[in-house]
Amino acid sequence: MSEGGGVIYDIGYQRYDGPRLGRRNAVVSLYVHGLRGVFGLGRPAKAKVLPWLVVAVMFVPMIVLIAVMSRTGTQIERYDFYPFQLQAALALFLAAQAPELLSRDQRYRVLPLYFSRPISRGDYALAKLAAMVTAIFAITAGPLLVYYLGSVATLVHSPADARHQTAQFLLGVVNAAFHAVLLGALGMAIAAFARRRAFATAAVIGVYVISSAFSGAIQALPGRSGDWAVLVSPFPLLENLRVWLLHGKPIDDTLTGLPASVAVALLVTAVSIAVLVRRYQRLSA
Amino acid sequence: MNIELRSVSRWYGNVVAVNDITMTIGPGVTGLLGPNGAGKSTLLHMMAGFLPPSSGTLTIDGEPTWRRPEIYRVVGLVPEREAAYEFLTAREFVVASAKLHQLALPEQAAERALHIVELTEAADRKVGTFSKGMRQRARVAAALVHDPQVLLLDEPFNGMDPRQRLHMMDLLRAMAADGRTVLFSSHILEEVEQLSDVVQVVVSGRLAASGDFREIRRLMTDRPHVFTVRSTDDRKLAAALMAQPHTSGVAIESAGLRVHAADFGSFTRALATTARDHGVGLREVIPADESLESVFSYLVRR
Amino acid sequence: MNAVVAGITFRALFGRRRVLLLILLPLILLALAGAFRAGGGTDTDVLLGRFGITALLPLVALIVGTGVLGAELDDGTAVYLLATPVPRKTIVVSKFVVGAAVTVVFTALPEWVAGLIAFPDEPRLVLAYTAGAAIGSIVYVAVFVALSVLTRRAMAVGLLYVLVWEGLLASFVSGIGVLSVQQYTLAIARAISGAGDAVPATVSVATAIPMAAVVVGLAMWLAVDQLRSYRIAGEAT
Repeated sequence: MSEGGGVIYDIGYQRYDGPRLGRRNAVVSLYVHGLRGVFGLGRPAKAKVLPWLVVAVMFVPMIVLIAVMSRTGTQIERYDFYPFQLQAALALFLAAQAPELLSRDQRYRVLPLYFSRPISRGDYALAKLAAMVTAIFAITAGPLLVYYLGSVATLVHSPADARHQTAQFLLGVVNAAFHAVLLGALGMAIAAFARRRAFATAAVIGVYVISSAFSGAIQALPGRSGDWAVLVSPFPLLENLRVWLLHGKPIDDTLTGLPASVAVALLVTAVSIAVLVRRYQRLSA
Repeated sequence: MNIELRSVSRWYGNVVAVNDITMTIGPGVTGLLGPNGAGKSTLLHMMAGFLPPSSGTLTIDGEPTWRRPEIYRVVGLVPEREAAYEFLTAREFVVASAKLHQLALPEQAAERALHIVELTEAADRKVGTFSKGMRQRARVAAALVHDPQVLLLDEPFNGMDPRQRLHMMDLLRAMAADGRTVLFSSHILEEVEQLSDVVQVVVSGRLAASGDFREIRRLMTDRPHVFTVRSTDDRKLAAALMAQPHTSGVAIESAGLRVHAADFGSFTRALATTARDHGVGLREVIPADESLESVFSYLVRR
Repeated sequence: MNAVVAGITFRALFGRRRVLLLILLPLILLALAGAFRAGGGTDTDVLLGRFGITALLPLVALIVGTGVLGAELDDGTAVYLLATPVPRKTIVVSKFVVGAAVTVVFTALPEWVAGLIAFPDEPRLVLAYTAGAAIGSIVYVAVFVALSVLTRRAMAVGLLYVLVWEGLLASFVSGIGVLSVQQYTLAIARAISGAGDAVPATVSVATAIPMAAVVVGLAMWLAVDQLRSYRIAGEAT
């Protein structure tokens, strides 16, 4: 019991007087945290299953290919086929992980905790977007790198070969970058509107499936009247861009004009980013 | 109608939420008291048939509660989660509940229930527009529309303002007075103190004490009882009491004497005799720590 | 079948933002049909099969099927239905009926209209696809309702089923059709249409019909049984 008069004991409680790292550091931390979260790092094992499964799906074929090539010695060019042929895996990755980044914070109402820090709402949205774009880039360009290194190791016999391989590889990387930016922006913009993860996932998948089916159906119309449909779905659109801008070989022969593709791609990306940022600016946390 | 628990335990993997609890809940208002995480909700959900016990038996009126929808003819549950059908009006919600309980005259039962919880004026507004307290009342109405013999409420006073709380307490007392078994859980001592006839104190999954909390206090013999005594000569009485074996401390305060007594029984018997022997008149003897709070904090710290 | 449960389910379904999607998706189908009509498209399989049955149907069924029960189980409002003496079977059946009916209206009906718009000369084929879609709706909704009770992540599992099982694997592993609702739908459509390979399906109708019945029965039984064991977790989240 107290004897009258008071004492405050020093239990080591101190004010923080050190340097405060500020907004830039906060944004970078959020970005890194988001990127780790997309791959399930720092989260329980269950959260790692899907992203790493997709990583395996993206990388394993390349590894197998290299093994085959080193055995047979013949070149099987694959730079052009990535990632279009694996679009389902990529779509699944985006659909599953975009909600990981966005919907969880909304559902558990932790946004006020973020917004009362030096970062602005726009910063938050863009940092998360950057994390997703980086992740998609990693899983689309990564396999190309593996393939490149494997090809160089097993098949290159002359400087001309090496230059050819390198050129193809770099074009593939640019293609991967286009994919990352467009798909990332689109997927994140869709996911930002759902509190429940599963619903966001379904929405992204829905957009992918319906737009692909729609695009495919229109393109099946006789003649070339349906070619514009390439612009309606993200993967055919990106494929179209690749053929035109990067002079790649087309996988199937429906093409639409370059200016239209570029315009639509830019428009979709810009609108998606704008929608994403605006969503977070107007969200009542 | 009684709720019987015999050696009921419930665990989730390594975590034991309820640990070998045996108790009987009878007619009247019983308060289930315990800190957060003590297992109150787990117990309530088991009684309501929404969780099976991992071991032990749990029956209402002799029938086990798990996987038996018939018990809901006599049991009403007001769960803790506030979610309700936002798009229904209060009236529609209670009428729907009445119809689901297969009542012969659902609209009338609903009107009665709404009247009991005093929601008649607001009954035609959507539940989504209600305040927390009104929503709670709507849920209580839905739970008692079929006139259940057993009413289980999980933290019913959460988010209620004092007036609503008083009103709800009156309601529950009235239901219990009719012979119903009303069980509610809370971690707020004042609520339980004011409302319950019987208290069941649950701490870390174990039943720490049951009964009238004043009786429980008396049973806590390893803790001295505190009394405030006012007399005609406090100092003289203080000296006399200090000489007694069962007094563990006396403090002289402006309001009177504050006496710590080790043994409730002997002290109370001896106090009057001592006072008379020393010619001191007793004006007031008040037990100073017989609140549920002191009981509770004692039990929690054990 | 309980009218109160059905009524609440129906109102709950149309009270959320999901409704917009439910209306949007069939409209896209109709728009596509219009494009087909204008562009002279003749491939019925692409419009009615690939878009209507493979893309549209499972998505609508997923949204509706997980919405009729899953949402309530998830947010705790299911307690108001379950803390009553209404048999669990009745609850599940009522919700299933509402879900199936809504799905049929939002998939089979637009399928029929789209077919008539795009292929006015092939009424029997259009009818076949419509009938297939109607039956497919019923089976899909049954499966998704069961999933809602079995797991908290019903929509994710449902998506995996539709995309990976029916979409991806079915093109690689030929036996999968026996366990694919999509194939039952297409097989039934093929049988009714009499058009043979114009409606591609990997199982015969003789397999599809009994399997569809089994799946619906099993799904309903599982849903009812699991609902009887519905638990509310201990301390609130």
